[in-house]
Amino acid sequence: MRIGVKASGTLKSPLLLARFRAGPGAEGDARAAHDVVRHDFDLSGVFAVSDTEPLTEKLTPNPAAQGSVRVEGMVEVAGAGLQFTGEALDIGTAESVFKRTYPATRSDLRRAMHRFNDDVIEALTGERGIAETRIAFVRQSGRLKEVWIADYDGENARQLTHDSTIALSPAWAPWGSEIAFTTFKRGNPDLYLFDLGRGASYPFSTRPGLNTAPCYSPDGKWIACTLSRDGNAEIYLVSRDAQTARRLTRNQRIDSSPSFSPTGNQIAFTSDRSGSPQVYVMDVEGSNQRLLTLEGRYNDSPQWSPKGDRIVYASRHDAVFDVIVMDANGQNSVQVTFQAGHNENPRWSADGRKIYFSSSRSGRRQLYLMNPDGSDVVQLTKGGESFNPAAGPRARKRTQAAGPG
Amino acid sequence: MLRRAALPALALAMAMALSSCAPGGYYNTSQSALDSLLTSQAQLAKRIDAMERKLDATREGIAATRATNDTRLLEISQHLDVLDGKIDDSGARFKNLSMKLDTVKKQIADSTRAAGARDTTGTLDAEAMYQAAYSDIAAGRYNLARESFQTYLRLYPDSDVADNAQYWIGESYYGTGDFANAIVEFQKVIDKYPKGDKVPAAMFKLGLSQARVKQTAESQKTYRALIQKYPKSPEAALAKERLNPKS
Repeated sequence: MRIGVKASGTLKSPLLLARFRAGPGAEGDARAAHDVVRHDFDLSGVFAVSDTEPLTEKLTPNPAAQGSVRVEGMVEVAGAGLQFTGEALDIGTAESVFKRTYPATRSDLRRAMHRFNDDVIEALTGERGIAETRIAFVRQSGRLKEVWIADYDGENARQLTHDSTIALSPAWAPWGSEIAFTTFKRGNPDLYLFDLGRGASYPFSTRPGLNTAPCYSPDGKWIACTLSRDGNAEIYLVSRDAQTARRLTRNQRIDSSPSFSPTGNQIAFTSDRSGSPQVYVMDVEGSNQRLLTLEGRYNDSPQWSPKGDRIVYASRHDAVFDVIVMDANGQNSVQVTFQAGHNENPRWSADGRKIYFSSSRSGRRQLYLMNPDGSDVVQLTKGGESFNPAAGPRARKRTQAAGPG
Repeated sequence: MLRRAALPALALAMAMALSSCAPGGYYNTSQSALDSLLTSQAQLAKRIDAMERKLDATREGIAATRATNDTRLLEISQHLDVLDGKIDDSGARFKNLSMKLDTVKKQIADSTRAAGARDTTGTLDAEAMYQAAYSDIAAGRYNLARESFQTYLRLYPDSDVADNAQYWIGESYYGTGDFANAIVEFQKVIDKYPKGDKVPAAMFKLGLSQARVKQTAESQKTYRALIQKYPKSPEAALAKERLNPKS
């Protein structure tokens, strides 16, 4: 299979990251904070980062360096904890673009730095970053598969479900404190909702047959999923309060893997109605079903990008899976993974600047993060086997507590 | 009648007469009668058994045949579904090719005109224009999408995707909650492109739009017309559900 051409690298803004200055007793913390932010800027896909020394005098305008950014930071001991002051300067105009002080403790310094990263990206691009978001995924140890949750970069991974069975396909609620997933804990593949606030899960759909592949509507009122209660896998919309179930597809073949468009008015899905799995789209009412993938024999697990302009999916060719990105109209499909092994389960990050996926390129399946053009691939998990990533949403508009915006 | 009534009496008299020299005679007679009765009963049971077995076998045979038939029917209907799917997909592929063809035709026309003064300002090729407008629908830029599809229909009224473009104009209103205008535009798909493949989808969306503006009677009429005209379409099944919502 030949899909388009290999994508070229993303255009990135140059960013000079200064070594962070440290107040008395905060030298180690300054280094740690710097390393976290350096990693965040690297992963953002927005900046080409290089290291530099902190400014010793006031920056002078350098029109030749228009569009380049310098980031300065300082960590100080403040009371029982720490405080971090970060600033982003436009090297072209020598003006401060963003400056804020963040209170922190040694244990949540990482979180404060993620927030600084997202604030800087928002100030410079108008679109917030994802360093504060989290991911859910499935980790397999032995024969058991449980849902895990981690920071966006794979750090601070912790086990969410302890059902000692097989859990699959986690999906985030748009409000970020609930995860829908499939579990076999009662012997049947049932859909459960995990409440992150209560730390407990409860059944959502336990109909006979399959209850899998959940996807929340953008307004959170519906969960699209695959049910086989009528003898054959079909896509249903089940209201979040579980009161109403509306069947969207009906044929004797398998329809699965629904994914809402960001408008909530369309759903991309997989169907093998024409003999092999292909990506289709329908209106949210189930009408106007149409083929989307014009290339490839086996195309599965589509996901609509957060901006609605693109769809990512996994395509099997020459007995391996690779990640394909195409326009939402099915045009311009581009293969973005090329490594050995299977590259599957592609999922957009909340800002659409990144794609999470699982790959068996190093032997066992692990989670990776890359730019939508396939560049900057970074491995996020090690040990065991991890797959089925799901990127959590960004926090809803926070109320700014302090500092100049 | 008389003879019958006399027989037991005769038998009784004989038994009484024989009783003195053969005390077990009466019993023996009853025993043999009973024996033959039991034998015939056993034979009867055997025959019933055999018949039941035959019946079971027949039943199994019928069930097996039915199962085979069911499987065959399922296979056939699955094949039919696949064929349907393939036809639909071919339709999609054809429209896509046809769109590309429109672009090529336009380019040829442009290049033949190229000898003279040529004005290409603002002319986007047909396919690119359609695709851009469609992307706007997906991204929720409904006003932009509507304008582009309207322009597309003015420039390429005979395009193979003209009915699609008209459908998306309806959808651009539907997506913004302007159901009154959605009704007008979906109706145009049905009236202007009656042979197009978007008609069932447009009829269904017309019905939904009518329901949203409380034209319940019109909505139900649209659903019924859809079910009658396109009974095998996915939209007909959806319309049936809207007509008879499950409690």
